[in-house]
Amino acid sequence: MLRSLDILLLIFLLVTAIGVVRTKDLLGASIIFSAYSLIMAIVWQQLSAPDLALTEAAVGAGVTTVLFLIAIGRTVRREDE
Amino acid sequence: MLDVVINTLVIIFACNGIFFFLVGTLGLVRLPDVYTRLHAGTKCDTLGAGSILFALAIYERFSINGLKMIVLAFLVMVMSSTTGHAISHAAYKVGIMPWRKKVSSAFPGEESENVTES
Amino acid sequence: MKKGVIIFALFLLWVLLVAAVIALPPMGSSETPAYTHVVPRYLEKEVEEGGANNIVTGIILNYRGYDTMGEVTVIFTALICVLAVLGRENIKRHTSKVELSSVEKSVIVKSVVRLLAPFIILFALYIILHGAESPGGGFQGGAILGASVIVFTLTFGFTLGMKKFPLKYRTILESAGPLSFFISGVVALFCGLNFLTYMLPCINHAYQDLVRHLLLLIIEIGIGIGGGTVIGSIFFAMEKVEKE
Repeated sequence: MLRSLDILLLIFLLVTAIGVVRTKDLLGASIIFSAYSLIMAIVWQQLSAPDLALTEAAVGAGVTTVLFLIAIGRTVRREDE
Repeated sequence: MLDVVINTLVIIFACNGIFFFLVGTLGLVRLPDVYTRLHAGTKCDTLGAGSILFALAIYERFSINGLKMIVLAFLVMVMSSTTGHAISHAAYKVGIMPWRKKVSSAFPGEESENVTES
Repeated sequence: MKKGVIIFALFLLWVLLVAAVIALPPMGSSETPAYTHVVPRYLEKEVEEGGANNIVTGIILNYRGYDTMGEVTVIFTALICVLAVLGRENIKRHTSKVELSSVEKSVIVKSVVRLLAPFIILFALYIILHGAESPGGGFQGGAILGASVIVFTLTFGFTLGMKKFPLKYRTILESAGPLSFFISGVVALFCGLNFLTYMLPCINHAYQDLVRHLLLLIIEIGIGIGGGTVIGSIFFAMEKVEKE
């Protein structure tokens, strides 16, 4: 039961990771990256590492996303081809 | 007897939550613009996650863990509706017009009126 | 020609890496020294030697104290690098109405943030102070503290955010992480022990455990406040508005 949850989470992780790299819109990419961090936090929790899960959820999903968004606001939104 | 009642309640609330998640996700994919999508997306968190967490609280028989679930449900509801409001407010202030149904070309007059409005 | 050289170099690197992987002990094997010596020692003796019921906290602050000190210094250095590139924010430039978003935040958002911000900070303090007993610790709590600063500033605007978190105090608090490590580590030197030893035999036996907990607590609080302030300062520095 929990193993299937793990497999599902890992598939989502792969999809979001590829999505971050493939997305040309940087705003969208940073939001997908925040989703990636959230899934990663759950994976850490599944691996019984709650300390890392807390860090990942707070830093990955919260702080870095905001910093990315500010950086995008100060530069350009679209990645060059 | 009590077990049966509690399990029934848990199943009802969990199915309710799953239903709202399903409908919300469908709406997020299918609906046309920002406001309607937000309308669908916030249902996921408030009703879907809210009732699933409530089901878990019943499952824990409102012990200390169950009360934590209730607090979590409250937080999720407050934060989700606030973010939904913030996004729609910002979208409105930026000047995104709400979606209007395009009238088919059978009535060209109304169609042009709609286009000028939006 | 150029492509061939690159492919050849990559091939060499690949051979080197594969050779290194083959030389490693098999993945997940219970025969490696990490599993036969290190892990049982940590799991069995940590509470007695490290002084924290949460084994992760005991490991990062006690057995791996030097590593954590380096990490905290790296965070501090990251702030210094950001400030070297971007410069400190200047409150005088913000007297004009330049804000992050052109949209004024609505009353609902402001009220919810005003309602929830104390609880966010309380949760961060709980995670910092309770790090020795439950999952959490200085880094996690510090990140949540920094996030609360960001939430406040994003909602109430820059001018008020800078007024509430003045540069005067942030300059001092940013260095709290490395500083607390050095303060706690130096205490052991007075007993003739190594740097970063928390169990001090030279004081009264009854107070040893208390002193150890106190030293760990100083480090946790230092990491938490230092980390949170560093995140807040990076946020403020990125928000700097150019002269127009």
